[in-house]
Amino acid sequence: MTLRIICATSHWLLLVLGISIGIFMFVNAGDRNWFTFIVAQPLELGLSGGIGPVLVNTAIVVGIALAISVMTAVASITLILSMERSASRIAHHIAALTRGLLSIGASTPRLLVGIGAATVFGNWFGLGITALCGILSLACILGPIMANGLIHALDQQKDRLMPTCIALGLSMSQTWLRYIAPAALPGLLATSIQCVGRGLGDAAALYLTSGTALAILGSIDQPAATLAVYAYSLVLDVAGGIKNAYAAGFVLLILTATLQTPLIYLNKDTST
Amino acid sequence: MNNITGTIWAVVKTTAGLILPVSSVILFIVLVTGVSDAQHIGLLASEYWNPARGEYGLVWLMFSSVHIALVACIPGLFIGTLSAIHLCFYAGARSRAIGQSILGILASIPSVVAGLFTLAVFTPLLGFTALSGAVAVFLMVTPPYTLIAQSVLHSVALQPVLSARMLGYTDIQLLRYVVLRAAAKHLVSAGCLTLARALGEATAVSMVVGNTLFNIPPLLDDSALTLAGAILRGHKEALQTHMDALYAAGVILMLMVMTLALTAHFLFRRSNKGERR
Amino acid sequence: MNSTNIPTIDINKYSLHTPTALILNSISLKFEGHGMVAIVGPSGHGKSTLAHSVARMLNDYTKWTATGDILMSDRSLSQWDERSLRSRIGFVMQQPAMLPHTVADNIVTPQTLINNTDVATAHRCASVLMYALGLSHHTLATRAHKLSGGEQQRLAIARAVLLSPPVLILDEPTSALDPLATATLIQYLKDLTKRSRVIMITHDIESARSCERVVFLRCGESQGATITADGSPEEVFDDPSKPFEFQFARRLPMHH
Repeated sequence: MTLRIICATSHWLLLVLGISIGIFMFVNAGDRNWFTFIVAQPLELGLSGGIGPVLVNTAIVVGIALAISVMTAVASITLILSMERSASRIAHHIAALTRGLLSIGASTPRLLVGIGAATVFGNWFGLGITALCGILSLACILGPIMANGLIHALDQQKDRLMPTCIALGLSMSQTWLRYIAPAALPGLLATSIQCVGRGLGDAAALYLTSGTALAILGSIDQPAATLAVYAYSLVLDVAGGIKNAYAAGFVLLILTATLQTPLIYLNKDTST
Repeated sequence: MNNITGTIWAVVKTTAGLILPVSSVILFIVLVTGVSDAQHIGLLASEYWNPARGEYGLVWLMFSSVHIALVACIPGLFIGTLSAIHLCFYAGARSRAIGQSILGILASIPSVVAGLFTLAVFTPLLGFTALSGAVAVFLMVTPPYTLIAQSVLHSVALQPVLSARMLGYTDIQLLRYVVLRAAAKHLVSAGCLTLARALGEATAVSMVVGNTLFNIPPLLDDSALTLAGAILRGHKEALQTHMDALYAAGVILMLMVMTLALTAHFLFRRSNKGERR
Repeated sequence: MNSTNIPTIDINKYSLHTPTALILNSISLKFEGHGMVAIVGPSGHGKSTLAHSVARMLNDYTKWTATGDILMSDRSLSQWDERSLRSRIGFVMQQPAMLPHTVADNIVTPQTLINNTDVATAHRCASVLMYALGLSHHTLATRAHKLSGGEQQRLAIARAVLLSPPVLILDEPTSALDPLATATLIQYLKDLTKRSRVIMITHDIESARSCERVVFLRCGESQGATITADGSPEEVFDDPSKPFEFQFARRLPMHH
């Protein structure tokens, strides 16, 4: 009986802590017109005014990075799967190696990917601190996560459906294209949503590569701050910007929470 | 003709497919080759970290990172496991749905938000200290662990627990002889991954931790600076030597994280073997 | 601890609903004293649900509403505390889960934990039972997951039996067993019935015929399962005035 109480207490403690995050962010943001805040331009280095351009920048950076990561992820996965189907042992080793590399990529801390990308894209490719550099570095972060999630979904569906399809006499391409790939689509969607969330929330890598400039992006070879970077720099770099930082944080929180809701429905089948 | 197009297509496919894996590792190579001058490595052994005075000792940075990660993870794993047990075995369907939704949102909050919350609530009480940093890491790290732990318990321990309850096991007996036995390796593996995540946490920690080393060793009520924090804060204005030191810090951080991730991976392998029919 | 007196199970006009359907329709049954009963019927008609109800093991996922009552020793099932209930009623599921990790963890540890038997006696009883059920070619240190489906089923039955519950409910105990193992199990259960009450859900007619009482449960024209026959195997299976049961026992396909 006591065990039950202890477990329940821990659980509700966590939940209360979590809900209070939202409350505190909202309260500390102070009295403001939220609609104006979301749409207006930032003034005084972000100490007042709104986050309109920052949101646009965020959408551009995260959107393009996501597109790149989806494409590279699909390419990698096609490679891995075709290697695993071939007969030669070398191909199998390459496939296993690729899977391992993707795994490593997915578990590297984002900060380290950030300084690596800052060096490769910023220094070696000469891009400096610009949105393009930030996009590429975010793609390096999100790509392996996307690839891992997608390949995990495909593996699961393959184990489930392949024996049945082969036994029925379907060809490989039919099995993959008509049965396995569509079955893995919810997994793909879930991973994509997760990646968007990660992209929105990343401050470390983008702080190093994409910079803290607040104007709307004219072209991608200018520095640009995303929402997370904006909030971070207001806390540590600019004196007195805390209130706006809380407001921006609250917007971030709402965005993340909204992104999570489809995931809850997508994952409903696994929870009984 | 077909053969040539076939080969070209194969080459294109392979190159495209390899972009991602190679880029995953190229960053690691950068970190290792980043040190421009070998003699700078000697500087890493000095005691203090003070780039302004040319001192680049990494020891206390490492200590801070590990210290804060442990102080955050030990309560985090404990509370997370208890919460997972509650979600898996005791919660009703509606309670479980609510809990999982909220934890899901918590698990995906940006680091900045966790940092801001700690700044608002705990830093006024605790000051800009290592303990504040540990709180921020705790917030980032416990919800994902709880969700993983719950999923593990559900898949590995739920059925044995039902069987054992029918035999008449009490709650404590269930926990000790069924749940922990069935799930131990999985939970430790998840714990290793959580610790790795805690070590790599940069934004949230650097917002509340003070980012300077006054006292050595930095205890819980001292201002502290982690490896990740040093990299994040120092990167903008770093000159050559400083930059090398940051790369070295990155290498060490990478090694720590990778060791933990590999341990988790191999633990998982072994526990999988035990259950193959 | 088990009682030397076998508790009476009295199912009293028991009906079970989900929000959308009636599952059990006013079931009345009584089990007194020792002996073996088989509950038979077509798949999916509610036999398992009835067994789970008597063992108080209905899952929490479905919103069940029940009318009527199930009494054990003249007290409602819901009024018994968990320990007393489990020490009196043993239940083996259709697809039982193995406790982690070894065979010993499944048949020695429960005895020491629940009945406080000393380890040596527990080992002895476990070995004897493994021999009786045809599992003796495995050692106690074998990992339970390595056993085949039928062996796991027998292990689960051994697990429950070793705790000496006066009432033993088995849900399809022979579904994964080959004919020899089935015969061995039925023989063992018959020995067991001299001192306990065994209730066996099954659709294996031969096993049912070895019991002294058979209860036939099926859904009729109206929703919900009812008891359509209750008596000796001959009365239930060999009565031409009960065509469904008659054909069921002879594996004759039904024509509607």
